[in-house]
Order: sequence, then C-alpha cells, then structure tokens
Amino acid sequence: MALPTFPLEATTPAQAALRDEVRAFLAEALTDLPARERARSWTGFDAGFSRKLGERGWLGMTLPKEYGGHDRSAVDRHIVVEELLAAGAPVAAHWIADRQSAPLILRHGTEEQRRTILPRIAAGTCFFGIGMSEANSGSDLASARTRAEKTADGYVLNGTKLWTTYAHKAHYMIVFCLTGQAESRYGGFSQVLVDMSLPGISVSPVLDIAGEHHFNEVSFDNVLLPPDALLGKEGDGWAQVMSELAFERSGPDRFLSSFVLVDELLRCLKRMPGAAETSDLGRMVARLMILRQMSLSVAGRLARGEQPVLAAAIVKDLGALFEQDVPEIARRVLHENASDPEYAAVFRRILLAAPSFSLRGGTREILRGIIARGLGLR
Amino acid sequence: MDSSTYSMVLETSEKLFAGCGGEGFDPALWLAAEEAGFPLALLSEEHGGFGFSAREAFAPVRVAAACAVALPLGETLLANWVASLAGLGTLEGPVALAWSGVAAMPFGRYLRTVVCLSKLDGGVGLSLLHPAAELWHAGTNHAGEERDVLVATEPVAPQARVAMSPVALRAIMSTLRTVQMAGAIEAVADMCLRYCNVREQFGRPLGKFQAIQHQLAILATHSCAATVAADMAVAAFETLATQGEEVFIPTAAAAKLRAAEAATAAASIAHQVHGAIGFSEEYPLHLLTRRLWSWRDEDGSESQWAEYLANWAQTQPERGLWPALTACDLAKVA
Repeated sequence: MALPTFPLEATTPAQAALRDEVRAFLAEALTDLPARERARSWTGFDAGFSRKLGERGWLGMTLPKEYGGHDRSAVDRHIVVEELLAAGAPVAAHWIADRQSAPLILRHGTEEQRRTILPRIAAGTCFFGIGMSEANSGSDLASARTRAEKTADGYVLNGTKLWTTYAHKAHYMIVFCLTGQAESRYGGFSQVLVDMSLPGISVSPVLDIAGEHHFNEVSFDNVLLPPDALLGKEGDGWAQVMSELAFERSGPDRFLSSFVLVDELLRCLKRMPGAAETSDLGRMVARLMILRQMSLSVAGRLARGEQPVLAAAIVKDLGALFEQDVPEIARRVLHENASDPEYAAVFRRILLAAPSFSLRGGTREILRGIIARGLGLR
Repeated sequence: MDSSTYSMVLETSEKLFAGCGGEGFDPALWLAAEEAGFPLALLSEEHGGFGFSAREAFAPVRVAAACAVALPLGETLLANWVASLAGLGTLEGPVALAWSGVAAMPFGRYLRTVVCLSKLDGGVGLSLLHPAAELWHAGTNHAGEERDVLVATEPVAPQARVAMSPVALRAIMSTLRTVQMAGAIEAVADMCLRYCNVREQFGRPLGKFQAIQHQLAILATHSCAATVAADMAVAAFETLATQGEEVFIPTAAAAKLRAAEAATAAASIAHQVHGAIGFSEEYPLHLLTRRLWSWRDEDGSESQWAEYLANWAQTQPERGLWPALTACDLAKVA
C-alpha cells in the first residue's frame, strides 16, 4: 500500500531557543492588538510588522545568504511560522512572498531576479500575489485562459485573474498563463513574473461574505512584459505550479487559522468552571497535537529535499476539517452567558472565514483526488 | 531513524504473525512469540531482555494487531517493564497489569501472573497474584478476545512500588491500545484498497468511482493520523525518564483519543465500501473492526481521555494552551 510516511521530527535545543525568542518578541510586539484583530490570522495585513520580522531574520529563512536569506532549514521556518500564527500576528503582507513566491523564484528565476527580488522578500518589503484562479478556472486550473503572447520585445499579457488576495498591495504577481499552443491539456502553460506597477493592470476589489476586502479581480490589458518576465521554462508552467502548491499545502497555516478562537474559548470557559460538557474540547486538543506533529514531519521531509506531495495533501485535508470544526465545537461548549463582546467578535470573524479554509490552496475535493491518486486508485 | 534492529523486528514479527489471525488466545503462537523474545524486549539484557528502544519493542505489537492476532504481547511487555522498574525481577509470561478492583483483565485465564496495581501516596503499589484458573470468570470484548474477571480475591498488600502517578500508568497501558489501533487501521486501509481494486460493479472496479475514492482518501488520512499518534505516544514513553510525566500523559492521552477517532472512521468506511461481504463472518474484516471498536474504549475510554485533556487545557493559564502544547514537543537528545 502507498500510504505516505510521517517520520517524527524532534526539536533541537537551538530550535527550542528560536521558538522562545520569537514568542518573547511577539508578546511585546502584539501587546496592544486585540483578539478580534488577531483572529484575522494570516489575512491580517501590517507592512510595518512584516518589516520588523525581516529585521529579525525571520523572513526568507530558507533562502541562501547570498540572496539576503538566512540558510535556515524548513523546520526552523516552520517553528517561526507556528509561533506567528498561534499568536495571531498580522502576517498577510509578506505571507505569499515568503511562503511560495521566494522558493519559486529561487528555483526558476533568473540570476537577476534572485539578486533584486529575494533580498527584498527577506527584508519584508516586497509583497506578492498569486495569479492562478480565473472566473472560469477554479479547481480546473488547466482551463485558465490568460495568455502571454510572445513578441520581439518580450510578451504581451491579456486576461483576468480572480480571488487574488492582497493584489491591491502587491508589488509582484506570478501569473499562470498560456504562452504556446497546447499540445495536451496541461501543455502550453508558463508562469510569468508581473511587476504590478506596469501600465495596463487594473485591480478591483471583491468583498468576502463578511464584507472584508482581501480578494481582488486583476485584469491585464495588453501589458508589455520584458523577455525575462518568464519564470522557469516556457511550457513548464503546469509542473511548476504543482510544485508551488506543495509549499502551500502542509504548513501551520493549514490548521491554525482559528487558533485565536481556541484561546478565547478557553478564556471564557474559565468563568464557568465545571458548567459545561467539555469532552469536545479534549478531542479538539488531541487533533491539534497530532496535526502539529504531522505538519512538522512534512517540514522535516521538505528540509531533507523531498517532495512530500501526498503527505502535504493529507495534512491540509485534516487541517481544514480541524479549523472548520473549531467554531462548531466552541458553540457547543460555551454557554452564551459566558461570552463577552471580544469573544463574540472573534467567533463571528472565524465563523465567516471558515468556508474558505477548505477552498484556498486546493479544495477538499481536489485534495482527496490527489490522495486517491497517491493510493494508486487513479 | 529506521534502525536495522527495527527493520529486523518488523520482518520477524510479520513472518511470525502473518496469516495467524483469529478471535482468541493462541497458545502455540504465544510460545513462538516468547521464543522470539518479544514479550521481554523492553528489559535490559541483564534482565533477560534485548534492551530494545520502545519503538523497536512495540513493533511486534503493532504487527500482531495488523494481523488480528490475539496475544497478551504488549500486556506482558509493559507488565515486565513496570515490574523491573519496581525491582520485582523478570516475570514469566503471560503477565498483565491490572488495577485492583477493575472488572475485566485481558487474557485473564491464560495469565501466569497478574501485576495488581493500587494507588498509594506518591506512587503506585504493585502486588503479584497467581490466580488459579478456576478463579477466572470468563468473558470477552466485542472482538472475542478474552477479558476475564477475577472472582473473590483477598486484598494483597503491595510488595513493591513505583514512583509514578496512577494516571501515568494508565496512560502507559492506553499506549498499548493506541499502537494496536494504529496497526489494525493500517491493515483495514490495506484490505479496503485491495478489495476496491478487484471488486467490480457497473463494469469497473469500485476504486474507479469517485465517491469510493474519496472515502478511501478519508480512510488514508485517518490511518496516517493514527500512526503518527502511536509513534508520538511511544516516543514520549521512551523519554518518560527525561521529559517526565508532564509531557508523556497529555501526549499519550491525545494519541489514544486521536487513534480512537480514526478507528471509528476507519471501521465505518471499511464496512461501507466492502458492502455485504464485509459483514459476513467468513470475511476477515470483522477481526480488525471488532477489535477497533473494543480497543478505542479499553484502558481509558475515549470520553475519559477527552475529559482529561479538556481539563488539562482548561487548567493552563490564560493563553497558556499553546506553550503547553509546544512543551510536549519531542526533544532531540543531544
């Protein structure tokens, strides 16, 4: 049978010290941030905070020093990210750049792109958007129709991307698009690096069900791209985007999105000791403990240069279920008399964000398809 | 991490237990397992064991569970470990740990020795019982494994003690069930995959239907979670002496709970995808699923451990759950 392995990852004394250092920094830096703001998790945007993390050396951690990084392991980065998310730090500004764009540029970018862009990502001053989904291309990414037409001077980009988180603040977007004639369903695609300040780009907001603005629709109208905008090889877009998604799928962002609500729930429960049937709470803690180790294990495999695609999909599927169950468990456990305005605000924010947990980064159904393929069923 | 000893133990136990599945205790197989040294593997060489790591010593337990073999392997392993900790020497197997006054004991009628546990101030008292066969009142769990009640025993004063909290000892015993569940769930997943690849309906194998694929994917996620849970509990047991009960107990509790949740899901999916044949006595699925239904509530029911963990979380200081969780992380030994 082809079940993936999740070797246990043990923490070194240096890693434990790193965790303590990050935790102490956050305790100070986030003192005045109320729980309802911390509940935004990785959609909370604060460019100043991102810069501070960059100064501490906690962004671009796995990048080589020559590109402004810190030559740290994926496990070290995992520990920092866990602490940031558990504390509800506003990490959205640098999030996509640090998580997936930087590794992509390191692997597929030109030397010029690595030298100019990666140090800025590590400094927390350069932000990225993900240019994958389109109006008619959600889970079926291979139906994307945005096209970069090759010309004598580079490319001309036309098309519209949708659900682009923080495109209105991003300096760059990596756009998945057609560049050639598709000889197969997955052929003809490339990824291009788009400077968001170029003429012909328009960004318009799309509000979510809570009325919040983080999504956008981004239109490219004859945007002229230089020849070196091509990231990686022409025609390799599909393979590149699939490996990019592997970085997106197993991290602590896949099970900690609602952790601030767990903390708030425990705070309110202290006012009603013994009043509730709390075994659901115990089950929740158990799931979280095991998920943490599973996700850490994937980080360990990434650190050893492996590509644990199947293991990552499993962590994301279990993680999203956990994140979505947290508000439901909170409802069952907490008597409304024990609630207060801060708790109520946190609860609403998590409740209204929860549907996205099993959509972003690959829907539950797509993940289960990937797992089934890993089991040899497809 | 995959030591050659570990691979060797896996291989030996797979050879020994494959195809030996059944409902109750198998005396011949027990002798073979003893011959292989499995029940004493946790003891040091001077005590007649192999000085195995916990991971190595629990490997045959997991394999035996995956093969649906009913043996007091883990029970004897742990009873001997506790006895040697208390200076009681090596006990002839089968042996099991049992709380004084607790109703049913695993494989009671076949035990040479019962290590009877009682709560003492600052520790757990141990006394050795050698009950005659007629003192056992026979019973079984949902899977037909012997779970016998010892009738009319005189209270025995503790002969020795271990400086360990009663809940830590309960967590140690529950870890055995966690390891067994992980082994059985993986075997269930394996059985489902093989079945769905060959069984055809509507002109194609069941495994080609998306509805079935998604069920098997969910089963796989639970199997992986249960395996990680068992590995975590065993690793925390291994470091009990250095990391302490504060790390081991919540880890073992969470592991048992998570494996139990996985057991419920796995059994349900397995019976669903197997259809009627999986519900028949002749098909071996029930040897695994009925054990899962038993083990999830043995040595601390699912709801008891859930209450324990809920209380553990609630007694942390404000915003203290996260530090408490990370304090349970497995530490790399320098």
